[in-house]
Amino acid sequence: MPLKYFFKKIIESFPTLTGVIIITFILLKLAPGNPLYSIIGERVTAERVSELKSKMDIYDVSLLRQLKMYLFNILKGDLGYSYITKQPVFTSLMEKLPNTIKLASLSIFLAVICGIGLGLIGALTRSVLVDKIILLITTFGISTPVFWFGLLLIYLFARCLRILPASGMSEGELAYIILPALTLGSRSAAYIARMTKASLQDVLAEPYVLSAKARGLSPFSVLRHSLKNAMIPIITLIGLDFGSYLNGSVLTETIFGWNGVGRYVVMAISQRDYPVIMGGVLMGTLIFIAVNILMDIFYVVADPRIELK
Amino acid sequence: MIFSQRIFFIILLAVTVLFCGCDYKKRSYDVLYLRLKKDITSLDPAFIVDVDGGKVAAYLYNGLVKLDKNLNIVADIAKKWEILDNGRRYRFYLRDDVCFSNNLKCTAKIVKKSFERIIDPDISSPRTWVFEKVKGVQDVLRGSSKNVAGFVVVNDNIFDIVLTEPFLPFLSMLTISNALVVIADDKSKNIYGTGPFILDYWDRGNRLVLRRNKNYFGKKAEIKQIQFKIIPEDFTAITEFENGKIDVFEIPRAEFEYFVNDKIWKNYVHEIPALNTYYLGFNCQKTPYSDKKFRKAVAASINRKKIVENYLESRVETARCPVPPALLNKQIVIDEKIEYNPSYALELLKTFDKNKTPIKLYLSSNREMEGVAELIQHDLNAVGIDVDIHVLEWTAFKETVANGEAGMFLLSWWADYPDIENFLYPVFHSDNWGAAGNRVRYKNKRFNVLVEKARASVDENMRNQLYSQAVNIVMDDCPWVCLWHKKKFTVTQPWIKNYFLSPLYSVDKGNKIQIEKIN
Repeated sequence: MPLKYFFKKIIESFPTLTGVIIITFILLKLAPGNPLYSIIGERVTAERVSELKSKMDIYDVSLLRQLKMYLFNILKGDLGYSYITKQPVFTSLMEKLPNTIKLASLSIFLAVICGIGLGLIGALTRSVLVDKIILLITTFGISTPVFWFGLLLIYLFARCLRILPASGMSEGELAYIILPALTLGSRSAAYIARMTKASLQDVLAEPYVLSAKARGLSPFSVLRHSLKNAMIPIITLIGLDFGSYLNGSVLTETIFGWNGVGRYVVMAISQRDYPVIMGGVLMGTLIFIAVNILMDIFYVVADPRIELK
Repeated sequence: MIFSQRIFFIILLAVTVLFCGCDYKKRSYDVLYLRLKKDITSLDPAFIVDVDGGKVAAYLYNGLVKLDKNLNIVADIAKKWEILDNGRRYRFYLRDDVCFSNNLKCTAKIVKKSFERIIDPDISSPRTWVFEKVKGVQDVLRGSSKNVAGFVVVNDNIFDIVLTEPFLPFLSMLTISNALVVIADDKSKNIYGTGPFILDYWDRGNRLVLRRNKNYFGKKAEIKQIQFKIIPEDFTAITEFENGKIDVFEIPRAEFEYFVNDKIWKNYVHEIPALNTYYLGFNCQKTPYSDKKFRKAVAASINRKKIVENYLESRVETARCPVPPALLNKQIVIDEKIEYNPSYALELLKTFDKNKTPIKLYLSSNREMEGVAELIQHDLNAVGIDVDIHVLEWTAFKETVANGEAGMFLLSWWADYPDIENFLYPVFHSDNWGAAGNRVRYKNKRFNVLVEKARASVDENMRNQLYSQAVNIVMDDCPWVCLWHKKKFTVTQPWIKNYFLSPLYSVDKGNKIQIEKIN
């Protein structure tokens, strides 16, 4: 019963969420630094620093009370206000989330198309040369740092060829998302290609595939059925990467000036903007839980032998 | 068949990419594109603490007075002013043609309300120090009064500011971002100014767009719009600049050589010494830094020439004293000089126990400063001082230094207003220990008296003499090893005209810059 399954999963996620909130809260309190110093600038006397501290909600109550207040506010749907911008954290995250979703979706789409495509060629072609080329491409994809690859793409497409913009989002034109999506998706594409190739080669060596071929099934039908059976580890990989992208890719968003969740949260970390950090982590956890549930559904679609219990 | 399908898809993809890309190449020559490395924190004068925020605020708002290119104080909302009661009362005569972007006329009452916002305990502005010398401000801050007695509305067009004591830098202080005149609604959600530009929209983290204010009382802006793009990565910003998508670009360190040597760009590079001092500070209340001999020994051990010429590639000017040269006039004579002299350092260090644990050098994480710290570490090692470098995140570093935990640290001081006082009183007067500016916890009664007298003196010659003595005391006590004054470098596109680079962020109002039409 899928509905019962979802309900159970949602209940199960509460301890995870609470644990993440408590751990993040404690870690933030243990970390050196003070958000006040991001806000006050220069020439503020010690007395004025104390006054301003007392006006910030983080200083006038005990840690346990702060945690309790925070958890209570979350239940009310209030993630607090940014110390720096004075904007509601929830609103700011919601403003940036669509940008991150756009980038993550296109990246994973490109990664799936390229990765599965390359994996299929690798698994089906018996040429040593093709095999080596694929190995070279995927090794390059896996081992190249995202930061460097992004700069390389900017150099090539924006600086030398001048056919794509180097940064920003403008009014949302597609041109602005191509380079960040390629950068972000490159590593996933390489992993998916390797996984597809290995998994498909295993399935193609199974006796039932030989039997299907012997029964006269067309090569396309054989491939379709084999690929479906080989999909489970690939779905896991896609799910993990997609969940990670939805939390924002700090490096890609920074290089391309993409106004997403990752860059927002990292900026908050550098300014010790606790409400934004907590809100970002909470949202990230929720996204991972949601993506995991979605992946479970995809498993069932890919392999009907799996049941949602 | 499959082959032709593949070709079709490849062509489709290529066409999509090209189609997507072509619109991007268009740019408007009515818009000035500028880069911000990170988003500004606030556009509310009560909360502006960053340079970029101050720069944008200068386009949007006006003060009673402003600075011209040569850092002279000139009229802005006030068409003229008088200094009365032996420097205790400043009388401003307001222009009668100044309107805010919500069409309200600027009157003395609005100016008073705008200044009182900064002091208002409910607003909790960290910049109350700007008006600390105004009569009645302390009462409001303490909560014993709601009205600042020193802000006096004489009539609609005359506004007086009464000070508790004569304070000559006050007029200069009125040019900083926090003293800009605005109208804020009840919850400070909307801020209205009188500047040459009006905030069009602010997509936080992405873009900030200002549009020309057609009703600006001064010279109307030549350009229709200013668009600030937030681009954190230098390489990306350089690419945008080279593609003509950014018009004025502050040159980052890594690309300095490229721009100043490139046969095209070198003609468009602008340079100006900024008002700042980078220094190595000592906590004067901590051993061994409390001993002047030790501080002087460290100063004599550091080869500043090598750091400036070889490492910083002369993008800076070696500092002679804490005050930048632009704020020193000829009457201020500096007797003491910091010279690189390791043998003198060794002589001074004879009385110190060198087998002690290494001393700690604190700095905030910054690639350039980390390199400087390593060079200082090397120089100090050469005279037998072991140094451990401690790199901290910015807020942690500021807290460590403000609390007095850091014995030796690398830091800089940037001017908010162009007055020599800005480089002496906040950073060396003993009333300002810690976050108030005197991070080295320096205390010298004679210095205090001299600076206090100089701040209150209306006689220019007397002021110069007093400051001259004060600077020499600091030089002799050596709480800072003054390292360098940083210069600003920008590069502009060939179509940008009437651009000028100013030593202070608040000078440029953006109304003179032009874009030559490109066909």
